[in-house]
Amino acid sequence: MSKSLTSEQPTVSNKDINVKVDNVSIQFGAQSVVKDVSFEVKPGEVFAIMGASGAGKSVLLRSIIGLIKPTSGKIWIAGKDAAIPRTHQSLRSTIVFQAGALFNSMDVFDNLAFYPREHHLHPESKIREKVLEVLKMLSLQDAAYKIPAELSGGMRKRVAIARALVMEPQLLLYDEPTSELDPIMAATISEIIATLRKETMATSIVVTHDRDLANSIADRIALIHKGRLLAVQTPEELNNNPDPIVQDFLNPDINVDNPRYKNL
Amino acid sequence: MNASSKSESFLLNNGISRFFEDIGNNVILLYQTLRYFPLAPTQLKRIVEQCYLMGLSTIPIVAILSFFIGAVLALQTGFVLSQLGAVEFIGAIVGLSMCREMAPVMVAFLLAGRVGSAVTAELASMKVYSEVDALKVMNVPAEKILVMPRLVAALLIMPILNIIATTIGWMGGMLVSKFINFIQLAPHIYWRNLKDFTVFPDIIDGTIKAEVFGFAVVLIACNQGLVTTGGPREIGSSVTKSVVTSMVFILLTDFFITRAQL
Ligand SMILES: Nc1ncnc2c1ncn2[C@@H]1O[C@H](COP(=O)(O)OP(=O)(O)OP(=O)(O)O)[C@@H](O)[C@H]1O
Ligand SMILES: [Mg+2]
Repeated sequence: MSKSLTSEQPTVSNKDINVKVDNVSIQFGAQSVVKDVSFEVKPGEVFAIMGASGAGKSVLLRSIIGLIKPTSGKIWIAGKDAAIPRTHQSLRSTIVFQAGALFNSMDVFDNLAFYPREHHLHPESKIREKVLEVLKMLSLQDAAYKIPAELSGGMRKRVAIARALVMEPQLLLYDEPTSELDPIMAATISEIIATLRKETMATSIVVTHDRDLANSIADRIALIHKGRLLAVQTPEELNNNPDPIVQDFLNPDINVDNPRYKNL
Repeated sequence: MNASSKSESFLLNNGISRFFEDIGNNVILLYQTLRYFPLAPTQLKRIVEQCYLMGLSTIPIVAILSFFIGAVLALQTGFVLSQLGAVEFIGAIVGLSMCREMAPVMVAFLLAGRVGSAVTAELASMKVYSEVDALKVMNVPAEKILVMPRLVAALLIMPILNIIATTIGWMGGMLVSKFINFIQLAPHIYWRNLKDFTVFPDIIDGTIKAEVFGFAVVLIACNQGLVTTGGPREIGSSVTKSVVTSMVFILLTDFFITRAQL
């Protein structure tokens, strides 16, 4: 059996996992979605990415995990090219997709147990224990034997997060983890992300519209505007940033007498 | 006029280039999947499950249709042979044409219709709804857990389906020869003639065809599923394309395999 066929244990340690996005541009046909973006996420950091809908956040996240190859520029994870599958075999990286991407033909339990089973991480009894523990963390015990089609939107989101957590990731990308959740559950997710960093030194990149999440747990926030990087700052710095686009994005006022859509 | 001939040649180019692109994609998928064949023992559960699904969905219809194909073969040839006074050769004709030609082609067609379409629909839906992306992120190659088990299952199930179709077809021929008034051939003469002309290498040749067709049907189905992008409509057209491509492949290669075998 050649080495590339076996499921490899991570060879890169958590303290070396940084993500360096280097002049990345991504185009779909004529549409330029990500424009010359550069930033660096440090090992163990919780890095938030914010920006308007359609700004290119999901596309950027997919290119970090290696599903999309940048049109130009490179992304380095622990010094290795993120576009090459081998990079993601040498460390445990995963993504919580915006739409979940659950395996629709499996129930929730099997969705969660899929990765550890396929890679023989633990004996079945240990996998079971771990899956049930994560399900409990996300209040999903009652849904364990439902299939994705039988879940609510927010439940599906939580299952997607749970499935990523069971993988014991070193680098975890979240695409809007709290977008369909109630305020309490959103707070729980923020706590889980922060705890994961504290306990395992995992590096997290969180695309989010949730200002509470970004302000309370992010070390730094990147603001993306129409595919360009506008700012990378700590939550405090960003909140004090005088740039009108930044301020309007963070604290949009709702003006019924002069609505935005009439000024387009 | 100029414009229309231009657009025609564009269509032609487009069609031809897409034809070669299809072949290329299938070859690449085959190449990428072959690496995982040594891991088949680790995927036993999935292989058995696929065998079960493939067998369950095709055996009843294979049994019914092969009976009628054997029967109509005996009917057609019996009509002519009875005028020549040589009805005992029905055994040879039904025996050989069932096992060398009719059974493998019919089984492959039914596999394309029942299994190929289902495989394409399932994989296309997994692709469109990002499940294949999720597999990639988890370092679990789709070729290993989706494609390889299905190809192995096809290789295991096709000889069985082929033997079932062949024997039931023979029996259909036998019953028609016995009971149709202008033939009235005694079963023991039918079987003796069949045995005299149909020898073991004929069975092997038929099985080889069945294996090639079954493998190709499932490979085409998997490939067509995994190249699908878009939404529900694209899943539907992928299923159609998978079945049509399989059938064209079966009929074209059937000629060349037969030519090589004779
Ligand atoms: N596969 C694709 N093919 C073509 N265009 C795409 C593709 N994926 C995304 N786009 C385009 O890229 C742009 C950015 O999409 P993206 O999903 O990254 O937005 P986003 O910032 O995540 O928005 P949201 O906050 O609504 O999730 C959109 O205009 C979208 O239409
Ligand atoms: Mg998005």
